[in-house]
Amino acid sequence: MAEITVKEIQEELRRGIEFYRELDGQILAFLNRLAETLEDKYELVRLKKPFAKDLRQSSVVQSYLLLMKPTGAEIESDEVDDDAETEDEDEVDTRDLAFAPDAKLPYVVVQMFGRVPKGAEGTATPPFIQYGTLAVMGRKDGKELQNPLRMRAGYYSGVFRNRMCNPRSSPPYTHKAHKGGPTLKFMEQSTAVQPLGSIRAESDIEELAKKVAELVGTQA
Amino acid sequence: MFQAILFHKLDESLLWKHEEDILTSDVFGAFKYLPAAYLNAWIVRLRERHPLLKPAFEMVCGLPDVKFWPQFHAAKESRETCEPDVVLTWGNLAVVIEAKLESHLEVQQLQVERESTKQASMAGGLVAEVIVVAVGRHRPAWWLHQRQSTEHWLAFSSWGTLADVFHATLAERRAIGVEPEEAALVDDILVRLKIRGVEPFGFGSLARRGPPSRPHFVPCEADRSTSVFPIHTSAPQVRLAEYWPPITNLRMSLLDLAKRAPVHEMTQLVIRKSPQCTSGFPGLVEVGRGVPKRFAQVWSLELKGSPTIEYCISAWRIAPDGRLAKVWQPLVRGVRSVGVRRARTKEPT
Repeated sequence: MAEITVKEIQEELRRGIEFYRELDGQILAFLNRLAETLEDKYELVRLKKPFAKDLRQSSVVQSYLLLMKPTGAEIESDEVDDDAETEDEDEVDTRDLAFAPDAKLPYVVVQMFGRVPKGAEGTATPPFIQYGTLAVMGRKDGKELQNPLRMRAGYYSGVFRNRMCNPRSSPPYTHKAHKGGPTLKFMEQSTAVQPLGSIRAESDIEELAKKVAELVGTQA
Repeated sequence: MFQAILFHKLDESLLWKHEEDILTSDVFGAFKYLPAAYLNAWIVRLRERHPLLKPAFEMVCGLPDVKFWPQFHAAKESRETCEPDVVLTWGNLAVVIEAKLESHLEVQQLQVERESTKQASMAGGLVAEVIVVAVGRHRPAWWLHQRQSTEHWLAFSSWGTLADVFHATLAERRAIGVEPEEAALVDDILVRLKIRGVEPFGFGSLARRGPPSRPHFVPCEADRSTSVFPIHTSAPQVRLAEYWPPITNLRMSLLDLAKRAPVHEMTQLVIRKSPQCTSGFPGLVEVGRGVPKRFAQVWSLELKGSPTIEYCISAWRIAPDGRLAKVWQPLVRGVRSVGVRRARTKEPT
């Protein structure tokens, strides 16, 4: 074990904090630019602004998530006056999403560590970008799905935050649609990964947006 | 004002009512002093993203006439005046900029600004086309809902895009030789934006710098910690090689370290005893500090000596930055660590 002085430790601490703070900002900046491209060119609308997920028992950021609305989804806004619409996107968590049972649920996640999804092993190592779509497979109790499905947006992001980005979870992921609602089963429909290091310039973001749109099946 | 904020002489948060205006003034004011290449680069980005506005943006040529906060008669009965943040005019084209930092962009406000600018310009016999550019951190939530009715007159740019433009244009111009004054101004603007949490996109500088680990650091013995540490960077586990003063001064040493290191965001303390077989020292105690909602979980510091865990805890308890409750719980399962929750507690006598 090398011996270093307090001053060197302090310098190392400072560098460490600055480095990870900048990395944090850069990943969110990348996801924001990706969200803009997806909206502009492919009409893939984000559900809320990109956010980070921490590990529960530690302060380490595990994933950064950009969630798009399910294909063909409507956000029910009966409680919100359109004229007085607020900008606080976290408020979307308390609203309901209505979408068809066969809708695709698109996402882009930057995984700082964890395992590469099955079928994509060998294509990337952490940190990597995982993108694709989930699909609703049915209800856990076996009953028929309603059409349209109604899901509270906060619970919707929970599927990704707490299930898909949880190394201890494996598909099919189960999650409630809303408080007291039915438990739904979600399956990975299409998934792809690429190393985070492959994003170097804005053209790489455009390229990634194109790939995401192809997976979701939307055209420019 | 610009330099006062850059060098932290002036705390911008004290001017919270005007911080948006100050940033607008600093960033868009720079376009008055910089070569047209910077403004053109921004317009090109806007043009690419808003195809319906392409013909109008093609009227842009050279440096515009720039007006900050011009007052127009509002084209709305309920309001007397209308004051867009910036109006750039090139011949028959006026680009109205409404910049927001934390507050919300409202489509009605943007519409009134467009109509008021158009009325005022037409009264002067000047302008035929008016475009509004909304600038903000993120797109407003209503953006896509309103797109059909706004796409022929409204564009959006994030502050991040502006930072990208300044950064990329400077890099291009550096390659062909740039005046030092120009580079200094753009660098200052980028720092200015960074203060407000806006940075140009690019992992390049991070990749060049690399993560802050030293090759000779031994990986953290806690498996969980190493596995959760991002991009395979182990928390630097180091030993203080200096002699730690006797007990009465130990608190001061810890406190001093806490204050001088950038630990204002650290609210977790982890202490554990290292087994002699791994550390080579009997009774070695590690003191780690966690950074909540950040990457680094534990930056372990080993204290050479034999302070007890209880002593280290109490040392931190009486430190002003470490008002820690006496609630201990294992932070990492299977590892002899002690997590201490931050909470108000009585000062020990």
